[in-house]
Amino acid sequence: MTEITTLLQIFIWGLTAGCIYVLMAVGLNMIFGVMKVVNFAHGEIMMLGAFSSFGLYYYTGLNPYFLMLFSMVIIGVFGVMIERFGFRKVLGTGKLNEIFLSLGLIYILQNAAVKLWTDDIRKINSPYSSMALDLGVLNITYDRIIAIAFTALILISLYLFLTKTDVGRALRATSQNHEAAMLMGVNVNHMYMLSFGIGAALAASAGTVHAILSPFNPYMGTIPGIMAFTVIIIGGLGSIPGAIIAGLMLGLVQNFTIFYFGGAWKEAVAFVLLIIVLVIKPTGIFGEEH
Amino acid sequence: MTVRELVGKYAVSLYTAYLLLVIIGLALPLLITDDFFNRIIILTFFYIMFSTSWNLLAYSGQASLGHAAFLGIGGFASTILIINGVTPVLGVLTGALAASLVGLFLGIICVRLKEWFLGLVTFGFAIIMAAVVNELSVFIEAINGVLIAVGLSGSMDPHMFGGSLGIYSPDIVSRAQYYYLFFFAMVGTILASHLVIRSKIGFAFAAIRENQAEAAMMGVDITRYKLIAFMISTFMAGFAGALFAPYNYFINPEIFSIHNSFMPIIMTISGGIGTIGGPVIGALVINLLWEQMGLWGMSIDRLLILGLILVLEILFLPRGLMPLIKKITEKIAGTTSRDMPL
Repeated sequence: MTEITTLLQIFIWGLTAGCIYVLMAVGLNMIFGVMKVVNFAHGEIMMLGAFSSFGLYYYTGLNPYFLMLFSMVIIGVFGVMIERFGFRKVLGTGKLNEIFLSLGLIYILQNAAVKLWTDDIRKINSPYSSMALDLGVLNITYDRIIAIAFTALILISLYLFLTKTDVGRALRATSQNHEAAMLMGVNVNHMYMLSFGIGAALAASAGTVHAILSPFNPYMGTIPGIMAFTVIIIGGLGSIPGAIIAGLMLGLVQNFTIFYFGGAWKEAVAFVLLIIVLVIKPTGIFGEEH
Repeated sequence: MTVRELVGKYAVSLYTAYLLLVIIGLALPLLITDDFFNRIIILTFFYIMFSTSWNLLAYSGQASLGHAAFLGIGGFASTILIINGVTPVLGVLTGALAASLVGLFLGIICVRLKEWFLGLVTFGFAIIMAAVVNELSVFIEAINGVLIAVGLSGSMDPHMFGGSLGIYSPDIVSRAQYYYLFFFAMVGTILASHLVIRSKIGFAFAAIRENQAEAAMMGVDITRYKLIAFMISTFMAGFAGALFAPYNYFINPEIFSIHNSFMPIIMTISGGIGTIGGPVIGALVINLLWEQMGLWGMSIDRLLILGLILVLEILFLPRGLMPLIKKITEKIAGTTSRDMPL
């Protein structure tokens, strides 16, 4: 009989892993909702976020959680550039071209990162790394608590931004109906850039959280990228609540799988979950017909 | 009738060009004197087969982002069978069939999915295959052990034509045998792709790709033809893998790598997606470029360059090299755009 504390510990690990997926998947879904584009290079943007936070941390030595905000801005601007000079050019020329463009970006970003920073394993040392919340039966490191709290904070501010501000409303209008939004005076091209920027910034925060919790190198983004895609399919393409629930669910399922069956099955179980969902409901749990 | 007209009408029909290429291909081993060059040519033939397989699936509007999965399944299945004493020919065909069956299974899951979903599922599938096979790594090491032992001693014989044929054996006969094996496999694959695309099945694929709803209205059985596309394409990919792994004397889960899934995509797009000649030209150009960059000592740089090529092509040359080649052949032939069977 497994002890309840072990199970709780795995639950916490699953939750933090899920938070990284949620941050990635919500960003992907923002981009998909507005532009109807899935960015396959999202994992690579996450990796760049980790490196940008690492670089800032390396040169300033400040608190990485504070630096993460700057990193989000840097990578957000980078995301806007990718949209403006990449995806914008192929929008409407067929979905396959958008897929192939993001494949090219994976090659470019990943290998440029290896070229610039080598593939050595690095880690961002959080000032709280040795501290943990002692609950008597189990210890939760502060870094994991911060990761969970931070994700919640981001989601709440994103929600407020989308519902309470004019720009947020314009974004939602664009995602519901391009033509109508355009007729109402929304600059759709700006919305595209904005959604890509927000998506990239969220990926950068996911990358930083990942880099604080575990070591990383330029190849770190590939698997979380794929898992984020799996999450948005399971949750329903374009549905943000779906991404949150599916993201946390996948994090938990994977960590319990690692515990019971071993690490190699962590990706396989995600795929099994994906197949089950697609067979039962091809549009995902919260998805609508597109 | 001027000479130019005559040439345009008969001599430079594409079938003549094909015939010419086949003759060059048949004569080439006479000119190949070193093993390294022979290996690169064989690798090119292999990539032509693999790209042709990917292109056929894309022709039906389904772009796989994890085609390496089928390459790997074919490779592992044939290797395991051959080292357990199954006749090589049977082993290779069974490997291809295994890939095709898995392809059918994945096709059934994907049949209702549109571009993005299909891309995500196939992409994930290759990664998951790698993870699963990695889990069986002890088993795989044993396979490689046997393969290497076989390669060195030549006592057990995983070859297609019999005889003792190491890869780097200086034996000119073995070099030519491997060359012809891959050459005929490649010609067969291209021919099969040609026949499929020019048949009723091919028209159904194109109809589905252009507009699924309209195709359904015209009476095309969408599910059936999408699954046929999956089965033929994955059979070809499995066949390429099943042939290459025993030749290579080495196979590991790396065969499922993202890189192997992307190579046929980059090659097909470079040549021209949706054409029969596209994957051939693309695989030739990209593979030779790739190997040349390897000789220049590039490793990370050549991956970076590959990414740049793909992005620039999508932005500025989305139809690849094929329209250019078509224009040149038309210029030589002096005819205007007939429906050339490219």
